[in-house]
Amino acid sequence: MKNAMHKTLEPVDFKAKQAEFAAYIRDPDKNPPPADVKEQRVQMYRELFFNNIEGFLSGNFPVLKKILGESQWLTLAEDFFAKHQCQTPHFSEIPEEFLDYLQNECNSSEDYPFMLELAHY
Amino acid sequence: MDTTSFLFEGAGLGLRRQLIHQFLEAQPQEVSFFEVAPENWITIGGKYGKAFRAMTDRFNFICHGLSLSLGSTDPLDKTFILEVKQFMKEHNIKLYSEHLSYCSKNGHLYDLMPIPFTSEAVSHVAERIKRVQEIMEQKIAVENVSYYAAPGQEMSEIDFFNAVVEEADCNILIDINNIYVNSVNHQYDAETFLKAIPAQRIAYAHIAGHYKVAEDFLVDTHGADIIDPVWRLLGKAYELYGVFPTLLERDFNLPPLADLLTEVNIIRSMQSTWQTQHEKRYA
Repeated sequence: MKNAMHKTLEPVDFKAKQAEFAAYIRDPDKNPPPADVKEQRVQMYRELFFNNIEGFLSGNFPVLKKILGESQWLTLAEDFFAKHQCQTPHFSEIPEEFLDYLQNECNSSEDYPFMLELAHY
Repeated sequence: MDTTSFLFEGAGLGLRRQLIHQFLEAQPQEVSFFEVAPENWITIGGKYGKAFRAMTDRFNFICHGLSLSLGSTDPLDKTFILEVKQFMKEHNIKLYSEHLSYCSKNGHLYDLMPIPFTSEAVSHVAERIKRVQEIMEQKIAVENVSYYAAPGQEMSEIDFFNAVVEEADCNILIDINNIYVNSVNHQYDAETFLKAIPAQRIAYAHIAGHYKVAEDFLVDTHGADIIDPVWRLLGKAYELYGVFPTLLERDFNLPPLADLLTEVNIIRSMQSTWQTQHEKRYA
């Protein structure tokens, strides 16, 4: 009871809450879900967000997706979403963000030197 | 409510790229306004750009944004706001609406996250809305979003929503489906919520279908037909506040145009019914 009282008196740092929430959505393997909400609900957020991003990428890079195969493709899309800080507000420019990621942040591009070139198709 | 304050009357439809040529051909009379996400269209040229220009020449449009990230702790993107302003000017679009939400934290995540309902967040987001309105040189309309979790909640959703729009002095876009979805997901009474909104600020409304994950968990997909309780809630809103412009959102599982127009026509017939009721009442 004492703990519960203490909890309600402590003001919520909404900026920290937002950071925690977004971090979980980007990379649920490395970041815990917010403790004060149902896990099923934040998992749904993660699923919706990732499917949205993956949809943009697979629509724009069909050849790369086909060559990598489903599993490697998903790993790549997950890594992009976890690492890359997209700056563009325009959905049509997400492909440029992905190319930027492949060039500068993607560790596995050394394993697949053809990837960046292929991504243009 | 004073209906002359609305930009236009009647029923609207969210414009999807797949349907643009059908609209240009069919010129459906039942749709009195369309809505687009500027983030989908600002950068579009070529064939679709031309088709879009032909649409905005012929029909009324609203910009319904997705990337402004009003609640974010990332800085406001002034360049982007000016792009939207320019886009609206080029296409003679008079109204810009956005979500009471955030979609970025150290970069964009391209979907809507729930702002913690705290008093500190109220001031933060209200300041940002005011800043956007200054840059746009006009009021924007802010939408009640669907949310599946309320991290860091200190106050109720309605208290948060009302405090923000009051402090920002902005208009509102009331989403009827979102009220319903949230009322199920967070166990509150949808009509009580509806009765508490500052109706004098309503610019227009959204209505849409959703997906049922479980009895107590609905997801706002815009991918299905509108269900009866949501239609009834729209009727309740017209009863309480008079008729306001209402737009059908359908983003996934697009049915044939004729089916979309059937739902648009339901909106129109409800508007006409409640218009008559109100005229009788105040005659």
